[in-house]
Amino acid sequence: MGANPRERRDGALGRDDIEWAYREYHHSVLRRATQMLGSEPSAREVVQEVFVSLIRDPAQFRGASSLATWLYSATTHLCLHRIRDHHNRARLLAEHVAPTQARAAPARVEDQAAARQLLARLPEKLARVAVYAYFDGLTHDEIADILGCSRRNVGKLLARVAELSGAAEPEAAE
Amino acid sequence: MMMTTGRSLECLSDLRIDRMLAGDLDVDADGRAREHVAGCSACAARVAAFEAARAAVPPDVERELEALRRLAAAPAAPAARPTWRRRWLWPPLGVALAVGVAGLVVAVRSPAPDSTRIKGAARLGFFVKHGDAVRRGVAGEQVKPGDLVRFVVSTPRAAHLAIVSLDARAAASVYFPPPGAADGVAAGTDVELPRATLLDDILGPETVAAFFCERSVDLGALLGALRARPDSTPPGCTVDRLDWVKVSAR
Repeated sequence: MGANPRERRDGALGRDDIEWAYREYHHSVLRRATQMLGSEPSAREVVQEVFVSLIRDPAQFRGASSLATWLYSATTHLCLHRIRDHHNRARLLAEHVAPTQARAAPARVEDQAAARQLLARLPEKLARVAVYAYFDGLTHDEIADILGCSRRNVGKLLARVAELSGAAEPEAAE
Repeated sequence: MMMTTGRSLECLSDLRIDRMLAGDLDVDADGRAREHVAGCSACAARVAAFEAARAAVPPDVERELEALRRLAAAPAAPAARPTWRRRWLWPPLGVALAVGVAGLVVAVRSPAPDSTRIKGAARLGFFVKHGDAVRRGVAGEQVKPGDLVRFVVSTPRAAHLAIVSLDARAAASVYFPPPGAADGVAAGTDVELPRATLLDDILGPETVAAFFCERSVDLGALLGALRARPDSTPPGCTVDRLDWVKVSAR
């Protein structure tokens, strides 16, 4: 089993590091992707894409943040890409999301579908910050770490999201 | 539309819990996180749920990783091909699709005999679900984008299986095994493969080849060989091919 790359912090991921990351985090990538896409089959494809991408190009992870943080970012990027894809979005909503959610959690179907539609409309950076704040419940510090910006900027971005969506901006924590 | 995470500001984020469980927090942060969990029933429940998900991970991580490495070694698909064009349908799908796949299973268990194949040889068959109708596919079958296809194989002995295709644009792709899944099939007649496939929108003839092998096949190498020479067969494998023609759904 690979070592935790946090202990090295040299930014160079080896085969063992990626194996460690897969063991420790592939379930959380699947969980988040399922939450965002509302479709486990699509989420499994995202898990595959995230780790195949990391195996192909380990240098994508530069060690500036934790590997978990990087995986959150990569997962968010791929899920938003799928949500933005017009054909895929239509399929997810019409064929997968609605029937699945209708059985699993009928009360949340409209909210989740509306959230995905909003994410598809928002500019990339606003969509990402919305995911981190509202899907993941990350603190402003954690979001700033992922986005590589200041906590103050996170607040501004969330205010803009709230303005465009009518959402209540979560208060800053930590 | 209101969006909210539904948890208090003091509670741990999912990222913090993921990192805590992975042993990825420094000592101080880990201590603070665990202290919070000890006094917060909501976070304790989330931690328990995350731990349960981790415990449910299939034990054969090595095999999954090897499958990912093979995919990573394979040439990337052309960018022009939409990512949704061919989708593996995993078991926990939505109600509508689950019903559809169940219909395929019923059909597969009472197949019509296929007299065009050599008895005793490893062979590939398939069923097509178009709308509510399920039929057994034959050579030259006309299929349409959005149809569900479920493969069945017959083999006198257990084998490692790879099902790949060359479509009308000479693009090679994999039908079986799905990413991260085992490639073994048991001996038997019309053994149904575990997942149905939603056909993409690339029209024209498509050749599907099933390779029954003594050991696992390197899918990346196999696809590369097929692109160079469509009739190639890896050592230690037997092959059965079939063709269908994908026509417009309109």
